Amino acid sequence: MMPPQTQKGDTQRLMFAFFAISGLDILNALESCNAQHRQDMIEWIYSLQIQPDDDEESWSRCGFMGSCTFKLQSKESREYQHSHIAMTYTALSSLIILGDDLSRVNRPAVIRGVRALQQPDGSFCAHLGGSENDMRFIFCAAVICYTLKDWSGMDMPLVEDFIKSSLSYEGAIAQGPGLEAHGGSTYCAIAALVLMGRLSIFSDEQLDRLRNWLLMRQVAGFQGRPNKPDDTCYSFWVGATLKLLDRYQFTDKKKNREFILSTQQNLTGGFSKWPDNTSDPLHTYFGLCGLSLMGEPGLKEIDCALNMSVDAAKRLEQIQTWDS
Amino acid sequence: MHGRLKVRTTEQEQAIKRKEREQKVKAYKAAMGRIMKIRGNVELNDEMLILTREVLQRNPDIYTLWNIRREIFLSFKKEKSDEEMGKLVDNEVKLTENCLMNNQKSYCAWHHRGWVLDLHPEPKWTRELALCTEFLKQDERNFHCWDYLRLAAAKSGFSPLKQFELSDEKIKDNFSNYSAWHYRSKLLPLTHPDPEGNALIEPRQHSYELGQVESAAYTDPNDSSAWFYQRWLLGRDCSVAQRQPPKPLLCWLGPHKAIVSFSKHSRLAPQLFVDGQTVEGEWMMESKYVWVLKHKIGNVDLIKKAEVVTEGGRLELQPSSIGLVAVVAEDSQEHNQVVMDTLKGQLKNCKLLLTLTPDCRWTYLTAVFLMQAIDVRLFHGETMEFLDKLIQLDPLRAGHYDDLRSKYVMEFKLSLMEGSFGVQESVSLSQCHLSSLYHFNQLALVREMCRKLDLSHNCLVTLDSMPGLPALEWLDLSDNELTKEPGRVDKNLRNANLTALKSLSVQDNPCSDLLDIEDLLQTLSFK
Repeated sequence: MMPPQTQKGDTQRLMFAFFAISGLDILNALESCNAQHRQDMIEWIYSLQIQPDDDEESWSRCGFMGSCTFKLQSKESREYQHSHIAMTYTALSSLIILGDDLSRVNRPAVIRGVRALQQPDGSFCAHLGGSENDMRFIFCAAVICYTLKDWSGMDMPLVEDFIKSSLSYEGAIAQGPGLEAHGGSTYCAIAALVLMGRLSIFSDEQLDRLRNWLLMRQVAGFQGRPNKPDDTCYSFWVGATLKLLDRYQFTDKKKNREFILSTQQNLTGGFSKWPDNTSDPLHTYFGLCGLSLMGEPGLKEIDCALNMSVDAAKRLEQIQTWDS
Repeated sequence: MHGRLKVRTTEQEQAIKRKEREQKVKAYKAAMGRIMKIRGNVELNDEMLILTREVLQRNPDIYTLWNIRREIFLSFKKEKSDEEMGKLVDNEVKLTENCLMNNQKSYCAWHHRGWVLDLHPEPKWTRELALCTEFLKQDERNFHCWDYLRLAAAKSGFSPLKQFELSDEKIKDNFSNYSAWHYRSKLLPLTHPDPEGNALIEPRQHSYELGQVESAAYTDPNDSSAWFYQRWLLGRDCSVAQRQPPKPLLCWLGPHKAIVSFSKHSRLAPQLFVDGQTVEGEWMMESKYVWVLKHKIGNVDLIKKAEVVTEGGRLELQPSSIGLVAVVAEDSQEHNQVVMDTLKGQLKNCKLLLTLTPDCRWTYLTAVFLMQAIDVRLFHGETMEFLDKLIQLDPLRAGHYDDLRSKYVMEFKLSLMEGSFGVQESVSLSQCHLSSLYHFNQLALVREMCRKLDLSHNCLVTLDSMPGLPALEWLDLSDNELTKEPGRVDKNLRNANLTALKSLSVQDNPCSDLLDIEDLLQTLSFK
């Protein structure tokens, strides 16, 4: 159930669920949800999985939907049911965090669904009906392939080309070629490369320039681009990238922490983008992640490339016993 | 979901709002239900368009609804006349505009607008440029809009040169420095490529661009984008050096081993020739910059001629007290004269700017990069001074500047060491403010020969980048910040292949009490 103000996100409920589930996990509070409740959540997620039918084409639509808003009954209308790459990603991650073993995931179908979304320039669209294509969905594709241990979900060299051509003059990475470097897209690209094992496409010099750009994003909290105000979620996007590039230790943790806590809402709880704004699940989640990066007591350690707790990441490793 | 301000309301106002919301939810659910029911029913296309329009105007991010509209428009394209199509697309474009008024950053609305305009028999892409201009006036950092601007310019048939002129206008307006610089950086290699193929940008234009940066920097030294742009212009991406293969800087031939270290990452192994014959053996990449060969020559004193051949040049080795060696002098390394002059000119400008605005950290930082690129030895003292100043002006990044200091100190020591190789056996890096161990991998020969290493009185927290030191007998790590983290320092030392180590000091460190020196030395010698 979601409040009316979040109507905009109706078709992306899985993503909101992920913020809640992973957030609770990081707060060490997931165990306090009773086992039945967690099982219910797992069932709900599986209900959003799209399975292939006898039609060969149907495999391209597979993955997970964001909500049952578009769940259709008849076979004819099922050709309108597509997965959304970000929902597939958050579905898989949520399942792992909840303790599921992914045994009911149709791995080959999900992977084919992801591959069907790759564009000729290497980037990914979100769903088969057509959408914008950018770095966010490359990250989603990378996590999915890594999780299911199946890299046939992407043409890797093409992805590397897209990432390389999205490097801006500033030395950091944009949503796509020709655009401004941005903290969010930089995280998406670097995390994807780490998962792919391909960080080596950048020279030491390029990485040093990137590190420099990232470190310059701290103003108290972190900003996403030069001359923009700091925003809680960038404590994760920029912070996690710095962790992956082994430079997080050069940030000022005190100022960062002060900023994140200043965006905390004392009445409703949660964090917001800026102080004195309404809190929302996204900023609450990334605020927690931002605090976890600096070892805040009471919070679990995060696996920066997978964007989930280290505990959950270890569990994933244990269940990945499938043959490639 | 981003950034809505909290507003306090009375109870009565709250009740009214609640009722309104309930009604909205009811209407939304009804509309969505109907939409799902009639999907695919071509006869009800008109109703579908009305329904989806209603929902989208309030909620432009339901991507499936845009998909549905796209399906309908594709079927329209087959049936409708050009005139009808034109009207339909115009209305559709207006719909996206309404949605964008609601949310200027809606991925869906921008995407759909670009998509649908392609279906118009006579799309007015130049009008789209004007739309972008308006939106950018409200938010010059809206990258959705910049992306759309590029699309519109391309569709308008603007050549890269015309687009370049567009970016010129934007910069002159002081319109959106960040994005405009960026736009420009992508166009320059297309509009003004170097005819010789040596660099990315043709030299005169390159100088002009540097001039632009100067103006920007003098107008507002705190505008970081101009500094980043300058760094790009002066950096490897734009310069000749990028295109050149890695050069060998140091070659050494001993009785059982040969080492070649390069100016930058070398993917190809070198070749070694002794008295006209290739030396057999497998070259291994010890690190990105260093290749090593284990061979069976034995006594190297009788060799008449030894030569190393690489992609980036060949070096002839000369006899010395430690074997056969070749070392390349600093100066003939990376930059040619033209580039050097440019860098020196830029450094002069920085220093001039500092006299006018002495507290601008960007100027200091840029000056540091320039000095290191021009002459590590000449500018060492000044670099250290400027780094101190940076820590004062920008304490948020003190850790970063300290780290840069370590890097530059090592580069300085490196420049002194490889030149005179008699000093290899005993290396002192004491009291150097080192917080990290950089470039040790490039001190390949030193590592091979070094018997005594003094790292005392520094700020090392870990020894993570400690290289292998097989000849080391004496190591002083006293008075550092070596971490108490259990097993960390231990592990670092084991990874360093210290099989010859006889004497080790770690006193005055947080980890001092944790390490049993005798025990450790015993374990290390077994590896």
